[in-house]
Amino acid sequence: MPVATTDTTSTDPAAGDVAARAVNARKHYGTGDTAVHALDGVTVDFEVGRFAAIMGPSGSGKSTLMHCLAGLDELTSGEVWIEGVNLTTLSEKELTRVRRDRVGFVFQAFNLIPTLSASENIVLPLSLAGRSVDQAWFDEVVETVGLGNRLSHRPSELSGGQQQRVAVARALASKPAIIFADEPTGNLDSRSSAEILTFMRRAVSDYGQTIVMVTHDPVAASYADRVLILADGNIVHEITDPTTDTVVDFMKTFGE
Amino acid sequence: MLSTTLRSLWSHKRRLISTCVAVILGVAFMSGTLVLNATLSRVFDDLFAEMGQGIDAVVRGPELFENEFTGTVRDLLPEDTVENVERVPGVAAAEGVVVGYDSTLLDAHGDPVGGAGPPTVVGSWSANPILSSYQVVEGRAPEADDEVIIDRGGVRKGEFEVGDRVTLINANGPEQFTLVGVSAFGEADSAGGSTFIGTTLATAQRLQAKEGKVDQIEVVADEGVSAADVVTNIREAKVAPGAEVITGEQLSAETSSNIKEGFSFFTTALLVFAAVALFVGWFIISNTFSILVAQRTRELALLRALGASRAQVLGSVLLEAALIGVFSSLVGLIAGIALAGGAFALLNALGVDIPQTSLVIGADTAIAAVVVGLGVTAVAALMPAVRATRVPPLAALREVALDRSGGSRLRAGAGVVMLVIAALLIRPALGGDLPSSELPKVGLGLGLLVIGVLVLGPVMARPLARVVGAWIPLVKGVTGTLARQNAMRSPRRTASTAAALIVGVTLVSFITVFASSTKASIADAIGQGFDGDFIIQPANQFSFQGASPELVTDLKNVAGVDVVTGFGVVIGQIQFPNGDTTGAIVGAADPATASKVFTFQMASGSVADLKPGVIVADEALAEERGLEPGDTVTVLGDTGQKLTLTVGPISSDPMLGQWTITQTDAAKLVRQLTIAQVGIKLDPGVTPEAIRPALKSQLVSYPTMKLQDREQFTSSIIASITALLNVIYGLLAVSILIALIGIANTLSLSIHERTRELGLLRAMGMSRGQLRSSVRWEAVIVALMGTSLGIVVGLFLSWVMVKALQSEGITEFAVRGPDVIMIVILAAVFAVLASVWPAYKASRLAMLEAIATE
Ligand SMILES: Nc1ncnc2c1ncn2[C@@H]1O[C@H](COP(=O)(O)OP(=O)(O)OP(=O)(O)O)[C@@H](O)[C@H]1O
Ligand SMILES: [Mg+2]
Repeated sequence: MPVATTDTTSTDPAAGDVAARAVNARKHYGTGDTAVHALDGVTVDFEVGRFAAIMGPSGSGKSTLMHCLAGLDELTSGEVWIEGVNLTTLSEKELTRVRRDRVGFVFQAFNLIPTLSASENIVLPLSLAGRSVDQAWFDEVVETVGLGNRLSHRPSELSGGQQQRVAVARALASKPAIIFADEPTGNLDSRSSAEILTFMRRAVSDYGQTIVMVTHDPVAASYADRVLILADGNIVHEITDPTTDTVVDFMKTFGE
Repeated sequence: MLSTTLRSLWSHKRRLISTCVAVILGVAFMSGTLVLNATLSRVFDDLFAEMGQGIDAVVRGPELFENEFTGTVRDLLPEDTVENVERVPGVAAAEGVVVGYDSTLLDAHGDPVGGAGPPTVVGSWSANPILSSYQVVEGRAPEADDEVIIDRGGVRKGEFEVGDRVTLINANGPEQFTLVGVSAFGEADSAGGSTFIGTTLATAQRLQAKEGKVDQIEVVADEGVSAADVVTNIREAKVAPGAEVITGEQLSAETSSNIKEGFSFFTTALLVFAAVALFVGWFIISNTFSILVAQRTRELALLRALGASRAQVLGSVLLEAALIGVFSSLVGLIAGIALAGGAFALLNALGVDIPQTSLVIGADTAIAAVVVGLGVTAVAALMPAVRATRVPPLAALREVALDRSGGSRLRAGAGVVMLVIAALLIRPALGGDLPSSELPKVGLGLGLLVIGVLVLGPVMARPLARVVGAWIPLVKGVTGTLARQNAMRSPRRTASTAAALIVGVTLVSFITVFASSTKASIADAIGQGFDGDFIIQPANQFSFQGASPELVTDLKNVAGVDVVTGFGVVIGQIQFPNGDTTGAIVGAADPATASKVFTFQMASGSVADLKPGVIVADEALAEERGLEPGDTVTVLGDTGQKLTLTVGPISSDPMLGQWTITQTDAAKLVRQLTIAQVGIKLDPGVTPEAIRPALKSQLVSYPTMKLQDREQFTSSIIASITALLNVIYGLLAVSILIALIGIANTLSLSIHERTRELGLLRAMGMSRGQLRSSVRWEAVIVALMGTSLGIVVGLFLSWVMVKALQSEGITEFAVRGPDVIMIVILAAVFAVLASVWPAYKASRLAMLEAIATE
């Protein structure tokens, strides 16, 4: 199996270099003949301040990888690290704290709590932690994602694109070590997608945020610094500094 | 469609458990009461049938009057009627019987046998084994006038042996008898726990002041002569003027039905509480179905899109409700039967020994259980079912929106109209001085008020939750905000969850405040009205047994006593100038002494104006009957004596009761005047503690009478109200329990609905503890809403009732802060308990499944 990453020997990555890391991560569903190997020994690093995209055919294990990296799911074997903390050794309580304090999420849909306003949704992880909101940062984030006059609205009063912006703003607001975004633009038209992706790109370039994004869209992938291709639970290829064309070309040769 | 329904039922069976429990509790309560009632009826029917066995005819005196407290009062028959009856053709044997209920038997330790339980009966012992329902099982029948025979139950309770001297307390004091025999009632030790003391006829007559008279004559017919024939013969023979002749069977049926009437009040009261429980359950059933329908919108829409008609959708939801209704009713019926069994075991444990009978489970009880259970469930599910039919097929394709609908304008309008009508009906009560004929209208108004508030529930739910929950976000941060928002998100659901609690809490706070107002009014009345130092009255407040008037004289002779005044009681009938009659309990006072020990509140005149030939009437009663001072009324006593008295002073004092006459007049109306209450005033400078032993020693002969100082007197009245209050709380607890199950149920269903959201929150880093806390606070908000509305409505209800009953002596509106705070705290605590399981479930949700897109 081709492994596309370097530096697989370090098991205690110094914080500041690597935001998240998977080491020989395996995730199996079921047993015996019917067992599914969603992750089949993935080893990968996500460096601080970089924007990584993950692509691959449906069922290749992209979401599974993200969930495990984010402490939402447990590996069958192997290790996952966030900022030098080995998640595999943590209790449920500690995992919750990691998610709250060090990880940001953007899902494809249903990102927001319907009973909370946009601004309440944005500060939710901070409120849950009982941390105070850095007002300057909050204003900057809101300004960046362009939500200015929509802050008091409920999710049901926002368009799909606006909802995703709120979700991105929320992910940024708590300044997490890493943001995981699972097909954040999957439900949006190309214009809204472009806006969201631009914000994400700016967050990485201007504020040094680390982002990992799953996508099926070569255009979306072109915003990233590198693209990892996943197939059958393994990383099979990496494209650095992708453009839409290089990604499309690879997908063609990859052949589905 | 049936198989779809069954499958759908099965798939969410867990979500229906609490609905079933709500129906089961209500139905169990109801059918338990019905079984209890039917069984008691059977017990008494059997009991009196056994008593009447062998008696073919009964001759008794003419009816004097009906009295709601003691039943029909009849005149006695002259004893020589017995001989007249014996001479009638077809009569094989006739025997005069005297029975009375005014004696108390003392056990071997000198304490009363039986207490407040079944009565002690003193009767003439029948020598004729056919006529007597008791048989001698040990020793012999009484032959001399100082001999008695007691039933096995009484002998056991009294710890007697044949040959013992036993003490019987009668109207004219204690008397000793020799126990010569033990009797049995058929197979049983006693007739339903009562104590029967058989004496000679002469003794029974003397003890009950019925010399030369008998209560009734029991007749055995000649061989071959039917009961009907012998009755006809005796009637034709005109054995005594006005005498009534009936068959033994008729007498049994009549006695039994009198007793049954006595406990039918009890049955009705229990059924009312069962109805409240079912009413509360109704909200929960309705809520469950609303939520289930909302959750199945897509499924229903898909069915519609695939061609199911509205009727089919309606049918499937109603069928589901019907199946639940039938299932729960049957379980409820079984639970009810168990409950009734438990009640009998309890009664037996309390010493009311009810003859061994198996529980009577009539077809009517079973039918009532199923009809009511099914009816409540089906009706409660009707609205949600209709809503289900309105799901458009297109909904299958849409995202399910939150049901934020609360009050339609129609609902708000209807609610307001109800409140306005309620206000109009209630208004007359607020002015005070409400004639009691207006009470039902006020009651109707109050009922309408409660329903109006419930109808407005969904309209008020959002603002109310906002207000009630305003402080929670400040204390609990974002978990508090979430709790409050969740409580507000579906007003209709929140409202009907709270409604169940509103009903329960309204009743609890109403009863609590009404009771504390009554207590305060009584304490107030006693504080103002009683100038004495001691009160003597029967330990059992429901007893009419008293002491001989000699007690008053004896007490007066105790050194240090200034004034003693006694009150007697006459059970009689009052006839008004217009010919109307009413049964009455008439107080008999000694005006000279009474006004020295008591200061009575009078509307006009003074108790000192009371003299023979005069009657004091209660103000409200006088007003209702249009009586003025100077009018005359006729009082009829159980001797058949009539006295025409002039209405004199008008009382407004609850201590005086409805009517008061002099003891001189009273003595003419009854065979023996007994003193039911004594007030004692001490000489100046004598302390109650110093004189207590001397007073107590006078009471040795009257162990049923209790000496109470002022403090004890007040607190004994209050204690009896408190005891009643506790019984009512117990009965309302079932409704509150159902309401709490409702909160738990709605929370579980809502949590099921919010799976994805909860998953998201967990992904965002909400800890399990925080999630549980937010569910808990949501429950607290709903509970506080229901409780605060319930308290407000309950307080208002009791305020109106206190106003309305002012003329009945309830003058104080007393709200005790601790009571109210207690109700709020209890509601919050119970809400937290109700949320434990839903909160636990919420925190254990599989997070990934929750956030995985469909
Ligand atoms: N809870 C589960 N139980 C069993 N198998 C699962 C479960 N979750 C995921 N899988 C399997 O694991 C494999 C990887 O799934 P995953 O969701 O990671 O794919 P993906 O790459 O995100 O696909 P897509 O692009 O469609 O989102 C699939 O074959 C899927 O069927
Ligand atoms: Mg996926």
